[in-house]
Amino acid sequence: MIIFSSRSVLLSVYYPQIFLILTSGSYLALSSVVALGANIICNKIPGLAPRQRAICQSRPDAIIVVGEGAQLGINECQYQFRYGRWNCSALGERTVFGQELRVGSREAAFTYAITAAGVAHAITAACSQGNLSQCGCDREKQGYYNQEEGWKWGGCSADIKYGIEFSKRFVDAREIKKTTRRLMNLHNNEAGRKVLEERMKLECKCHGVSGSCTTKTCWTTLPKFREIGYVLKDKYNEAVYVEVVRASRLRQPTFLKVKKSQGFRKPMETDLVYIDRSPNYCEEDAATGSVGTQGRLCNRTSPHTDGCDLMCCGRGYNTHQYTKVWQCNCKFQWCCFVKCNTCSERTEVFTCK
Amino acid sequence: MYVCFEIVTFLLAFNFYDLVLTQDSSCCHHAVEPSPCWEACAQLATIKSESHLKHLLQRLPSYCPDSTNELWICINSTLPGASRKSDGWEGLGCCELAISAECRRECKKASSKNDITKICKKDTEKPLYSCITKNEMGSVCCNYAGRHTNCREYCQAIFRTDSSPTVSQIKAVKDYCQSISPQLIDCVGNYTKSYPIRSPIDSLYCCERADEPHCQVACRRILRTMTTEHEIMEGLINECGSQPLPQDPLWQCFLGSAHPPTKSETETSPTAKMDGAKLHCCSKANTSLCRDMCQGISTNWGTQTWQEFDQMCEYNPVETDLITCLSDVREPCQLGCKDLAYCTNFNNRPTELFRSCNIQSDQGALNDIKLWSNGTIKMPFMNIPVLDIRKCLPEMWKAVACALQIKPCYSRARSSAICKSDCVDILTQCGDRKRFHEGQTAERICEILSPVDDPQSCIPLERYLTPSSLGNVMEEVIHPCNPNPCPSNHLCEVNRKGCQLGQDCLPFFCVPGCKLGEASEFLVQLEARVQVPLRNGQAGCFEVCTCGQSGRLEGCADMPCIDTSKTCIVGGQRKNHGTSFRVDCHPCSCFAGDTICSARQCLSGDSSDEDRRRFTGLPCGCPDRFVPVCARNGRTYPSACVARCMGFKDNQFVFGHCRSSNPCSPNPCHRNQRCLPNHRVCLTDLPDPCPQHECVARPLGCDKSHSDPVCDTDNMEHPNLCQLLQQGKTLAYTGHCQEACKKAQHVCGHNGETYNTVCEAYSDRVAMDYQGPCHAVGSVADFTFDSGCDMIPCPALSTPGCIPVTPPGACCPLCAGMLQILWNKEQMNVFAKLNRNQPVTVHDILRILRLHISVPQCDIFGYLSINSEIIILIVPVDQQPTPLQIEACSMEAKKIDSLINYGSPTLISHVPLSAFLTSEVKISTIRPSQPSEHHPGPQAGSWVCCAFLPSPPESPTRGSLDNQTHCLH
Repeated sequence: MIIFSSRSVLLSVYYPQIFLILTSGSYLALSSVVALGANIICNKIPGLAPRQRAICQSRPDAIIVVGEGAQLGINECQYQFRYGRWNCSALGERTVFGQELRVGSREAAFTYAITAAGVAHAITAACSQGNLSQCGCDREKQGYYNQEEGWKWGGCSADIKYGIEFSKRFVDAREIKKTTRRLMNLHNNEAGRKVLEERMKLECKCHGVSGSCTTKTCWTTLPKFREIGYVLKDKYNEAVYVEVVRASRLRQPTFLKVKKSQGFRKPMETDLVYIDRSPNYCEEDAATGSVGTQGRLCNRTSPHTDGCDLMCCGRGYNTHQYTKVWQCNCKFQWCCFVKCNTCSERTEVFTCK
Repeated sequence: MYVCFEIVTFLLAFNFYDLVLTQDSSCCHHAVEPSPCWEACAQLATIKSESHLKHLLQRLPSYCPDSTNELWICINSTLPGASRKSDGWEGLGCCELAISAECRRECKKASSKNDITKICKKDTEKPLYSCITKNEMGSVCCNYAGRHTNCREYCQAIFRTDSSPTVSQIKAVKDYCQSISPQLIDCVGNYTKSYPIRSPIDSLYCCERADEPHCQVACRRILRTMTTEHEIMEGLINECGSQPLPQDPLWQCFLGSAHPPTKSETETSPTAKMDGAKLHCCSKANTSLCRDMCQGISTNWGTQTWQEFDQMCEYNPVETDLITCLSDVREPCQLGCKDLAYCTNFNNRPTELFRSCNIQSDQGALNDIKLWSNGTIKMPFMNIPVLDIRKCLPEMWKAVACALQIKPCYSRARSSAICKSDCVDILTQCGDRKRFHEGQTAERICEILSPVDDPQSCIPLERYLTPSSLGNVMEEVIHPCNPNPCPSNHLCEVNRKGCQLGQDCLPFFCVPGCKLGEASEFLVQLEARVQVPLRNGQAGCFEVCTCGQSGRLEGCADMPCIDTSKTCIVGGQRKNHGTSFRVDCHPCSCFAGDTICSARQCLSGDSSDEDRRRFTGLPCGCPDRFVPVCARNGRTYPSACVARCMGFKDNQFVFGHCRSSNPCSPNPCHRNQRCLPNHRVCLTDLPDPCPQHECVARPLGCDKSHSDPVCDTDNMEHPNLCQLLQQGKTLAYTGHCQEACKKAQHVCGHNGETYNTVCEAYSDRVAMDYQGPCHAVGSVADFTFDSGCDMIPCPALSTPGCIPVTPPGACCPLCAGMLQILWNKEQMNVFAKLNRNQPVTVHDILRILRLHISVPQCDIFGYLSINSEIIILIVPVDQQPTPLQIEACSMEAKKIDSLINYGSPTLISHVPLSAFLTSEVKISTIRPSQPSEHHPGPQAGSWVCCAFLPSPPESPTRGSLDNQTHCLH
């Protein structure tokens, strides 16, 4: 190694450059950034409206949660309709909110409501877990609330207002064209969020060991999303057929009224509304977006929609037989191994023709 | 920028041989050996090619992550002068991107990126750092353009945008600069190739998130080979066969590591999203199950874990420490209880501690009794069948219900459990044995409910079977902050300043504070520095944050982790980290494998006569002569021998009192600044001696409404310090001017320092030992035979019949509660380093502790003892305190002692109190022979001060306070 001090004069001239490289370099190594910027990823996400892209670019952390929320809604939709001819699928490009149904049917109404609720749910949950930078616990639900009854807000109340607001800002931004369908979608989005908001829970914790529970700390929590799924499924069964009222001079769609109603009865806030009759979803059809039931599994003995008769729309079904093999009756042998038998069973499954 | 430019040309001009010298390979020992970092570092010294060296220097950061801090510091510091740059550094234009205001300020002041790294955290200030990096590159590249403005502008345009430069931008640079500077083209080329922040390889870990194996493989290949964003994007979409969707884990990963190009609004640190106070407690759990659940409920609300926690841990006797700690966070023990309608036996107890003396709990006790009258006591973990409690021992049951609700915590362990013998008594008599489960007995039930029978850690019911013996004398000792009169998010502070003349005011202030996390109920004062555990819950790892004006924790900096698994071996026994024990007369504590003990001189019953003869009670057996020296920490030691014994070298102290030196002569301040002496005692060992002055700019305007009276050396009072300085006066002491302090009347403080007046001593938060200048030192040991103090005429005790305490090193006893605190100097030094090398002083400690004194009739004084313990005195403020007031101050001392010894987050979350290791308490009591008569209130005009005279008895808390004496504070 060369002796340092003897060359110190020369060295002193060199330092700043070295320093520069090192500091900027050490930053490079530190930050976990990044192969791709938010801009470019957001530009490539399919099916986003311009305003949604802008939100995506400025809040990439939130967009991840939006994706999770939408998926939460899609999964719930698939669960609720797992036995139906329509199993929450559609033809077409997969977007953040799943494949879209082209017909303004009850099914479309359900998907919009459940994804809007899913996004609000996921955003709210992320806020209370501290995963999003711009929100947290509900600041209004802090400190004393009810002095006499001896309970107070405490802990972390889920900030459902923020979640709903974000869902509104993001999900509703995809409705750009002024059409009847837009009014229907917006109504169903709102209905989904409303259902979620109405089902927020109040949880309390009693203080002290004695049973009277006179001092309590309470906070609001999100309901399980499955619960929202069931509520919306009921709403789906009672969905309201609506038509548009073109009120303004430009004859633009202005609001929805219940079809065949006397006068102008508007649908309730939490009703799901639809403007088109549903197709039967039996066959693949590009016009309606129906995937058809060909190849779907069905239950030969069920009289319900999952039964092969209904599911396959009378086309009949294929029977597949196979043998299921697994390890069974395992016993521990001294010492030291496990001995198992092999069990097998013949099973049949049926798929629609 | 100029420097950079010059150096780049320099690099090119000189041969590489000289360049090699710039890297001293001795730095490389900081890198773990053998590691890629170490190898790369070692290579630096041996490389013979210039381009190779340049390349390696640029790659070095990817081999040596920033966590190899020492290495980088070494490389930077072995190149002295490296951080000095000319005015206007590259990052100046980026400062507006800083998220926190503090960072923005720092950025504008800085002269290099190094200056901001402490304040601006890299993980939260990403936009700022990426901007700086880009500007640095930009200034290097574009300076090649020289005077060619077109070329320079097109060059700068490339660095200005947030996304990758477009093809047309790159083309424009080529067209305009090709002929001017090929170096510039190279430099820009290097940048455009590698943007964004170049290393796609850093994102390789994202590839593992892809669902399909073939996509994982393709992703890795693409990141390794492609360089521009567009190429990578297209490649991934084609190979993985899907558009990017935010629900896809692969794209989530990329999105998660992407930073938004625009400036985001104020972000909160992750710390703010949890309950930092509760998290402190989790380390006290005895079982790993409860520790994990505790961390669950503290860091991630919204899960259902708290219900399990309730069942498994909340009432589990094994977890007493954890439960007590959590109770401290929720409901700290506070002095005094009054105004209860049902639990009347708890009223008028101003010197006892309770967790929940309020109307709700009172109502709760009444409800409990009603419920229990139905024949069953429902507890969270069992039901106890009882006879009719309205007939069987009704008073006992009432005391039980009240104790469980009001939660007295006067016992040492601050727990609220009922004593076992009481439990067995009451259940044996009133338990409905016919309805007991098989095998259930009173004994067994009580074994589960309250296994302890040590009055130190349980509540004896007997105490609450009769009303308080005090009657209605509450105005002697008041507790204005209990029950808490302030709105949520506000802290209650005892008003020790008094009211402005002729005006009414409340005995408390409500001041805004910060929660230790959003879900926390625990508040700290604005600008307080707090220590919170890291969210990942790793034991021994903390960060230090400041409570900002926004009401949130800000500016967090990680502390070095403490290895809590290291144990100490003392006398053949293994002691865990954090345990306290005694060795001879020394209190000791084990801290991360180091045993830290006091520096006392011990003498025991079996010491030899020789030892006894030599025993002086001073450290190192120093003689008790008084020839004061002033050490570099700002403390006056009684002799050079003691100073040496405490580790000061001969060049680190000078003869004379510290306060008699004038730190402003010669004037150390700038010409347009004024030098103010500010004597203080530092607890930290910084390279510089403890600063004894402040340089202040002449104030331009003062806030006249801000009332914080001060007294100048001419005995003139000013509404606040600013106005005093504006008039060119010199501060004598804080507080209203006192008649008694008009002319100098020397007093000796407990710290061995002579003050001109007693007011000055109090203003320095030191209590008076005796009248006249200091001329003796007292013992710091428990025993003394004779000492230099024998000739000192001590003032009479403030209250006859009180058994006094004598503070270590002082001569005269006084009636007060006293704490002797052992602390960790290394931790103090860490805090100073995290706070821009601001030393930690005794005043800092006293200021924070003072907020925990809830009784305005007691005030806190303190000093660093000559054997380096922190001595805290909690003294009644009246000149002739009543026995009740002495008891209250003693209780306050016991409360703080208990909080320190149990490491309660109430205290320990405050920096620098978290460096406290263990505490010993001594309290004054009143001799029982002395009838506990109640003295009349303090004498009006008494100059020992800071008291509220009794306010009108009908409204003890909210009464007008205009008739109080003037106060020192």
